[in-house]
This record gives sequence, C-alpha cells and structure tokens, in this order.
Amino acid sequence: MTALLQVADLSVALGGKQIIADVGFGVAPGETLALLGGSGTGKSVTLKTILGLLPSQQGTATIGTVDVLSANNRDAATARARIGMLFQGAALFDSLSIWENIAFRLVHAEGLSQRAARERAMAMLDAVGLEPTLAERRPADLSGGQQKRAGLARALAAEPEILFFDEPTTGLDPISAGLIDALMLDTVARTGAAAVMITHDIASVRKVCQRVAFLHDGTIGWTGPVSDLDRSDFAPLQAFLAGRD
Amino acid sequence: MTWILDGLARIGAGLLSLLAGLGARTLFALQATWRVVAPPFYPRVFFGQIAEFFYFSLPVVGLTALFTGMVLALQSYTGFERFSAEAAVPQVVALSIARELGPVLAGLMVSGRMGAAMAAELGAMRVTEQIDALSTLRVDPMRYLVAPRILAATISLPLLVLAADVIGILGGYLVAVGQLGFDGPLFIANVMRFLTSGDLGSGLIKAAVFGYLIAVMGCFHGFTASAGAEGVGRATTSAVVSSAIAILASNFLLTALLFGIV
Repeated sequence: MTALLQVADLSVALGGKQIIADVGFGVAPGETLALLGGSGTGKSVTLKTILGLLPSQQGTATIGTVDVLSANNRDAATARARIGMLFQGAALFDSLSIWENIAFRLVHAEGLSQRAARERAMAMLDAVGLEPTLAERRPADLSGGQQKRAGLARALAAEPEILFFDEPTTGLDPISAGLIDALMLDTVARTGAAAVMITHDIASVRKVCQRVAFLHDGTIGWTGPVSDLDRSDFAPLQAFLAGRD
Repeated sequence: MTWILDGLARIGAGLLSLLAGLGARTLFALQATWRVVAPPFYPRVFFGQIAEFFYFSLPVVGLTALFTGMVLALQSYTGFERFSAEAAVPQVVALSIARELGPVLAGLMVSGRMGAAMAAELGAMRVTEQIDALSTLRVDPMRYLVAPRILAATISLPLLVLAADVIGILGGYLVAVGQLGFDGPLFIANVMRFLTSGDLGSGLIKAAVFGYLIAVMGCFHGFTASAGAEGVGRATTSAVVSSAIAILASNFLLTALLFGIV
C-alpha cells in the first residue's frame, strides 16, 4: 500500500551537533511503525522535525503529496493538520479541564461551538475508557495512565490520518500500559490511520506494531517486520533488545 | 602577547553574546507585538491575565505605595525643616510619587511577581511539551500565550500606577497630618494645585512601557526555557533580573524624553 507519510534523507543538526542523518521510512494507512533506538539517537527529533517544531538541514517528509519541509507555510500547516500527536508526558494544558483539553483544537482551530466541541470531547472520553465525571477535572487530578488516555483522546479528537505516539507506555504500570496498547491498536484498526510509535517498550512493539525502524548513531541501522526483530544480526539492535543500549 | 589576544577574544565573544541576546529579545518582542494587533485573539486568556496583573497585584503595589508615601513625607519634612521649607512636603510627595516612585516601584514589584510567574508558567509549559502540543493542535503558541500577556500587562500597569499614585499620596497625607501637624484640607489643596495632568500622564506612559517590558522579558525567558526544573528556575531568575534592568534603563530614557531634557 502507498505510504501516507514518507520520510527520505532527513538530516537534522542542533547547536552544531548532527543529531540524525539521512533518515528514511514510510508508513501506510492502517500500519503502525515502531521507531526504536537508544536514548539520544534522535527518535523524538525525527518526529518533531516532521511536525515543524525543529528545523531540518535536508531531506523530505511527504504527507500525501505535500513535502512539509519545503512547502510554503500554508500548505505545510494544512498537511500537518492531518497529524495527531500523543506526547510522552501527555502534555495536557494544566490550566484547562480535561474536556477543554480534548476539545482544544476543535474550538480554537476548527471553529466548533463550545457546545458541539464538548459533546465531541465527551464521546472521545468514552472512547478512551475514561469516566464522564473526569471531564471537569484538571490534568493534575488524574493518574499517569488517565492523563495518557486523555492525551490520546485529544490527539484523536480531530480525526487525524497520521498518529505519532511518543513513549506512550513509559512510566505506566503494566495494567495501564496494556490499556494504552489496546487503545492504540483499536484506534489504528478502526480509523485506518498511519501511525509511528517511539518506544523503549518491546512488549508494546510486539503487540501494536507491524514494522520496525531502528535508529543507531543518528541513522536507520535496521528496518524490517516485527516478526524479524529477534532474527536480526544487527548487533546494536540485539543489544537494545537485551536492554544494554 | 597571547594573553592579550585571549583577553580580546573573550571580550569579543562576550560582546557578540550580548548582542545576540538583545537581538533575540527584540525579535521576540516584534513577533509578539504583531500578534497583539492581528487576529485571532483569545479574550479568555486576556481577561485571565488582566485579573492576574491588576487585581492580584493591587495589594502588593498598594502596600508598597502606601509605605513609600509615608517615608517620603517623613524624609522630605526632616530635610526641608533645615531651611524652613516644610510647606513643600505635599508637592514633593505628590510629584515624586506620580512622576517616578509610583511607576518605578510598581514596575519593580510587578516584575518580581508577574514577570517571575510568567517565566515559570511558560517555562514549565515548555519543558513539559505543552507549547509543542499547542503547535500540533494548530494554535500558534505566541498568539495564544504571549500576545494576551503583553496586552494585559501594558494595560494593567498604568491602572495599577494610578491606584499607587492615590495610595502613595494618601500615605504621605496620613503621616503629614497625623504626625507632622499639617492641615488636612491644605495638604490636599497643595497637591491638587501643583500636580498637573502632565505629571500623572508621564507616570502612566512609563507604566505602560514598563508593563510591556515585564511581559516581553517574562514570556521570552519562559518560552526559551530548557533543561527541566533547573532551566525553569534559571528562566524565572533571568526574567526578574532582565525586566528590572529594562525598567530602570528605560526609566532614564523616558524621563529624558518626556521632560524634554534631550
């Protein structure tokens, strides 16, 4: 199937230091790609560059037919609007209630009325398995797992075609991590979104992802289906899988 | 010879770093100011900031002004008594408060309170990726977070200074009448006679500039914070220090400009 997001030859340097070089991968609708690698190998930098949060040196990141790294601001913004992101710490806005967080983009960028946005937020809250009574609470009142689910609801509220998950199960207990895995799996299957997941959680990768791209020293060192992970002869990947990165 | 070159290189690097810092702040201020006047606007954020700036800063600024007015009356009385000019106390209190002490002290107090709060809040949002999240939700963080704060600060500080002027003069009145034996109605009459709209207006113009500078510095340091809780702490300190310096430096320039000395 044709990739909805295609990244090619992406290089990023920050503060004079090369972070990633010639990174490339593609993700098709209904597929989840795991972007693996040790700490500081440039996984988050890759996603943030695609999102326009960091500047790129060279390369392309094509969403549909638009290269968001070279397109004009308006076209790039329209293409990037097709992406929803779940941040590592959920990144919910402390000063807003949970439903206001979920409805944020609908109200401020899509122009929905407060009433319609609230209805949608309540439906999203239900979809991620959170009680409606949590709608008026502030993020600080929720547990880590609940915050991640609210963050997922916010990322999904505008029905994005591409999803980025940054360490979705990090810091969660096994039950909450299992719930998040199930939600991601269900979301991709139900919406047909193309998803990229950054994680250190190999169990989560085996459950949720179909393919893996392994970053080592700022470049893609190995790529292949999840089923081939253990058969790879790429030593840094085996070290990573054994928890020695 | 080498140590001379090393010394010059260090001075040059320091100068370049200073210029880069000034440039970054100026660019940030220009980008933010453009967003103050160009839609979309976020009235809910703006009114929330007005409440923070004006309503919640009023007690601190009011107390500062009250005690400053009281001390000013005492100091000017003991000074003027030496050459029998005690009658000038009401005028000195009113002019000093309206032209200088009201705006400068209110600015410094608000920079400590609100400049630090803005840097800490935006810094925490930066290090917890909330500012990145705004961008991914198709909302410009400068427009949503910075522009309403700058507008609120620029409007609120003159209002605070107006209140500080009244409270400061009241402080002077209480000491002059209660302790130094001045006639109450005469004190008020002297204040009204000598205090011109130009005196009040110059203080309010200064206050608007100080409010703008406090918000720009607080937002800049918060927006560019990094390195977790330690970085947020550094951003907060830098915001207070740089806004205090900006207030004092711009006060000199504004005084020279407003009173036609240059």
